[in-house]
Amino acid sequence: MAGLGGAIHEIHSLENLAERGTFLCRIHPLSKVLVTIWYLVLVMSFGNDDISGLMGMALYPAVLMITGDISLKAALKRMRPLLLMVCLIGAANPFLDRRACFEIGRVTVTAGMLSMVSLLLKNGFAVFASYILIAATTMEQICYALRKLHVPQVAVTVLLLIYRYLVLMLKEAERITQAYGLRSPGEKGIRKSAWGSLAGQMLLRSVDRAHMVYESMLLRGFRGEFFPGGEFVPVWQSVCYVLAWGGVLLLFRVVPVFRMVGSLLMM
Amino acid sequence: MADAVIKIEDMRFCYKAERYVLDGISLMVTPGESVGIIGANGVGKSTFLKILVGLLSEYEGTVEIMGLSLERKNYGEIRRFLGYVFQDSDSQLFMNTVREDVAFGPLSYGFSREEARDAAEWALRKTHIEKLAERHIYRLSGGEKKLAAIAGILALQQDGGIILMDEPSVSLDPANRENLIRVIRELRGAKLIASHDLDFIYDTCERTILLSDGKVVYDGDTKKLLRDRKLLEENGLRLPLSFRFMEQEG
Repeated sequence: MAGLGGAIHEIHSLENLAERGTFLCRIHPLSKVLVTIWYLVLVMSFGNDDISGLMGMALYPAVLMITGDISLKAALKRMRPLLLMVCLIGAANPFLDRRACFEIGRVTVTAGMLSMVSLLLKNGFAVFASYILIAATTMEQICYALRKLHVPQVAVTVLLLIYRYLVLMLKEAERITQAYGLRSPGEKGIRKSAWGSLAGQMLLRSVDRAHMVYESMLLRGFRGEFFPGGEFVPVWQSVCYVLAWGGVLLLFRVVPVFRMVGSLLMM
Repeated sequence: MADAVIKIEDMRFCYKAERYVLDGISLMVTPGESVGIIGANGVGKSTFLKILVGLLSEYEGTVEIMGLSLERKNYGEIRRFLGYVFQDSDSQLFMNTVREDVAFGPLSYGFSREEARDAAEWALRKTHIEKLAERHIYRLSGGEKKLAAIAGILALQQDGGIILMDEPSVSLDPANRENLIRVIRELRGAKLIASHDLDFIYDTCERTILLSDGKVVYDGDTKKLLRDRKLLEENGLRLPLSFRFMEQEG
């Protein structure tokens, strides 16, 4: 399945992932959001030259992907464009900062190279952590957790509506392009002269449908509050999840575990 | 009539100072009554329902729903007992699974998780879609979506409310249509069903209102109206298929 239909399918597949009932999915959403935020803060707090320290932070996505039964292959496939962007972000650093830091054999490692790898790791970890959160938590649950964290109601509602409208827009776009394709045999893509009216139609229809969804929410009492669907593990387990990950991640941030292991091996 | 659940007096409505789409509608609906609203395209059937549920608020006249005046301050309380089934169920269902969607209303109205779950279970049973509870919305057929939309309303109002339906039989196959008719007949609350499908109206409503040029031209027994070929044709409608067959067979 490719194109717009594929995109809709991907969104629904992610929703399916988040509702599988694994232990990770059943952790209270607030715990998962808190740990993710904590992880992101710690990852971003590493200096540009602290690669070995940063490597330790790979533990979090690795453990969660294994225990949460989240496929690495599928994750890489879904996040291809994002990861490509991540790679591009620091690509210019080796050319901009040529200060020599150390040598590995005959290769001189520059500060620019280090900062590029550091940026790559930081952004890559951040993308993976966000993916894991989404793959184990539905959007409604994430919104619920954000409200519990006192994120303004308007911001959270907008986030949820954007998510819902995204699917609607994709569906409308799919219908319109299918209808176009059926009446324009042999054409590859959409001709320029039709782009304007097609885009306009898509926008109008999407707005119309989005309006109906919002009306439907209002009619059933929506006042900006969110309710997490699904069954969760007992509260103490969710609390333990936060404490355990909070502690482990802090340890990996404060103590250079990889460097210590390396030193021990060298001895 | 003291126990009317809907009481409308001289309701008028127009979009942006155009001519009146609804022009002096007066009627009452009693608890448990099933009322069909029919009329040609553009006579204001959907507009009428949208006013009752508060989606269009700039009407003239007086409307009382369950004893409450239909005005913005009462919308929350009125919508607790008055649900609206959209013509396009795709736009009405927005949660991931059927169970979550059906429980959305009760949770929004402050039910506890247990109460919301029980209300959802009850509504799913009432609409005979218990087996679909964990099914994803996007995997439902048109008929199943319609029943899920009705369940979402029932979960909130239980048996004593009012359900407004806008073209409920549109794009349903015969089996789903039959199933929907069965479910509607089993509902105890008042129902207002706007539809072009006169056979569907015949099967579900004992009383029917015919709208034309924004006015009520008939309000009474469904069978009597649907046999009146002249009145129907004068107002842009045709005899229901089942009646035509009966006519042909003499």
